[in-house]
Amino acid sequence: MLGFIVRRSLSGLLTLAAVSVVSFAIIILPPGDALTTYISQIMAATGEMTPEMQRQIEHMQDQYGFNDPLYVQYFKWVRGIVVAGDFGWSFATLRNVSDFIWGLMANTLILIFASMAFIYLLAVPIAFYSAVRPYSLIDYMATFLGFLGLAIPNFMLALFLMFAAYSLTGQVSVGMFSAQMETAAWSVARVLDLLRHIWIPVLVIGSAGMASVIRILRSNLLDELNKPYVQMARAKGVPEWRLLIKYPLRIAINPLLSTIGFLLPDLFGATIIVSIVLGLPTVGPVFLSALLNQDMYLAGSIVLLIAAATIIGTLVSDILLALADPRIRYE
Amino acid sequence: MATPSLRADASTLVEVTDLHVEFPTREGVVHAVRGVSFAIREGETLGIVGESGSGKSVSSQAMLRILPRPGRISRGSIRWHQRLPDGAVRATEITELGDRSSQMNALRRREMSLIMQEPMSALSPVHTIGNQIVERLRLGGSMTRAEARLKAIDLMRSVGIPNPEKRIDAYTFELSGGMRQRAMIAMAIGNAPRLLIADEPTTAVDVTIQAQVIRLLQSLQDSLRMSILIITHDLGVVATLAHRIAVMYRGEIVELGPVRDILKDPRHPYTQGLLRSVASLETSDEDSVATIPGVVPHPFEVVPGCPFHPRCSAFMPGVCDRVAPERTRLAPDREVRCHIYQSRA
Repeated sequence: MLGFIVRRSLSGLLTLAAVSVVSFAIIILPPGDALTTYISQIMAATGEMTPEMQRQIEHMQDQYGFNDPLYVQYFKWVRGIVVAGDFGWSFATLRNVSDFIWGLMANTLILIFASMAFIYLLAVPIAFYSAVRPYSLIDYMATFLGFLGLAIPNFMLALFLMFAAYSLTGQVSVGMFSAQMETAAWSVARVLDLLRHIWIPVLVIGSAGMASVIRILRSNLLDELNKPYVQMARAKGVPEWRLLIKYPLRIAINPLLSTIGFLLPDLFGATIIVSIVLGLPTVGPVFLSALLNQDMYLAGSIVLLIAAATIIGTLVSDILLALADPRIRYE
Repeated sequence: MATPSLRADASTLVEVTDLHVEFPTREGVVHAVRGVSFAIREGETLGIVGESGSGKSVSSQAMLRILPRPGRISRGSIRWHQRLPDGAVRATEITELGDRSSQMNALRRREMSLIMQEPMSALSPVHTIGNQIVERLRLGGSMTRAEARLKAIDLMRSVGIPNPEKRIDAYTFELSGGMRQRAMIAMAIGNAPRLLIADEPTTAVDVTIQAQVIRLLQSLQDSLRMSILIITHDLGVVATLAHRIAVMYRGEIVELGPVRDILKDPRHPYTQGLLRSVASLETSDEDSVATIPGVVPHPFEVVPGCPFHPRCSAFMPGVCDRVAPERTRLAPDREVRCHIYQSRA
């Protein structure tokens, strides 16, 4: 088991290294370097270059290696991240990327994990019931609602829920926190405040992802229910519900564990649109504006962080799968 | 042939009368079992022989009430005789119990048990052997987990699994085919059931293991004094293990009687065909192995009269294809379902 984790972690690190090259490629993709764009923006705005600015520009030139060959630039960028957690300079917001990226990432991950929890907590019992009572009214309703969630565009559902919440409560529920909680330190009150706001985006993102989870689990379970080991457990006199949970559900859930990894990028994609519509302080809208403004250090950093989160998610789902299924552990 | 003799006064353990099982499907109703009657006495081994699709497994699944969907018992009775601690006998009508009722589960936990053809698929791949044996032991009696584990190790040793202290924590895929089959038998005999239903226990293992499994079942029957219902298409297996055999064709028992009598003197044309089609060392190359002409009709097909008449060598036109034959008693313990013998009755 330990060997398995070490092997998977190493291959995760390799993937991360490859992704960092791709992220860097995105950074240097636009013609000209970011610094030149920055200088010309300043020149256009103020018409002159103060000595102080001149020093700052020289310092950056040295720090990010704009005059060096590409591979040196790449290594300077990576060293900055690894040694000092420095992701580079955001030329559009005139701040260090690392100064504000972590808060946005935290909000994004909170939203993604809340949606994931919502999906699994609801989809697993629904799929379980649908498989045990196939072609029942509830089975058809679950299928119908699942496809409805899949078919309605996220932005539309988000707008509708926003409108519904406004009509019912008279309050515009946007953002992830109330104004006074926006920058407060984490506390019980802040978590409660988060829960009051987050249900709309979670509902929107979750409803889109739920259908596929229900379909996968339902069909897995239907396959397992007819396996001889289920009949055998019945012949042993195991009470039916205990039997269904201990044997077929336990086995049908395994393939689902491996989907956690690739559900992450899907959910990230969903957070972008939902965050723009609902004005959520996540990475999504910042990512979009960074790409529009050619703020390449910011865009590249976001790509890198999201990729890292996906790699870690995949690693975790691999480990969970190995824990749950001895057949995989022993391969 | 060392068939142990049965006490003549042995009482009946289970009595199946006119059992019908059907599977309503979208394409039509499949009548898998059509009026099967047999009894199993205490300490007796009954062998049910037949081709695939003859309803032999379905009959045993009906006894355990574990018919796969959408199968259901449409008619008939399965009467279970339970011996109470004070010596009295309580009869339970299994067909009247709910298939998930606690009374049915009580019978499954203590009175009867099942071993299946393929232990690899009949045991859960994600639970250890020990987990599954302990589960059965704890369902059958009030045992702590630790007691059940010790008992499970004993059981595994008694079915000939070497090093059971280690193997108890193994998963099915870590064991060989023979060891898996033994583990399943250990689980089945866990609560000293009075009937062991063995559904093709030797089909999925190779020949050397087959002999071991049969010897194991024989010695377990001697030591536990349980009855065995063995379902197989292998006449060699029933010849070694069974006291009596029932030959099934298309959901009906066509011939029933003591194993020696039937093997020596088969009466039903189907049984005669089955026995001829067994390859033996005496079979010369020229006349190779005999086969029964034709194929088993499709389950949806309605065959009027005797179900075997389209393939029968003794077919009597106007009789066999019109009238279904009745059960005819040839001797106190022997019956056949064929028109040839009906006139004599």
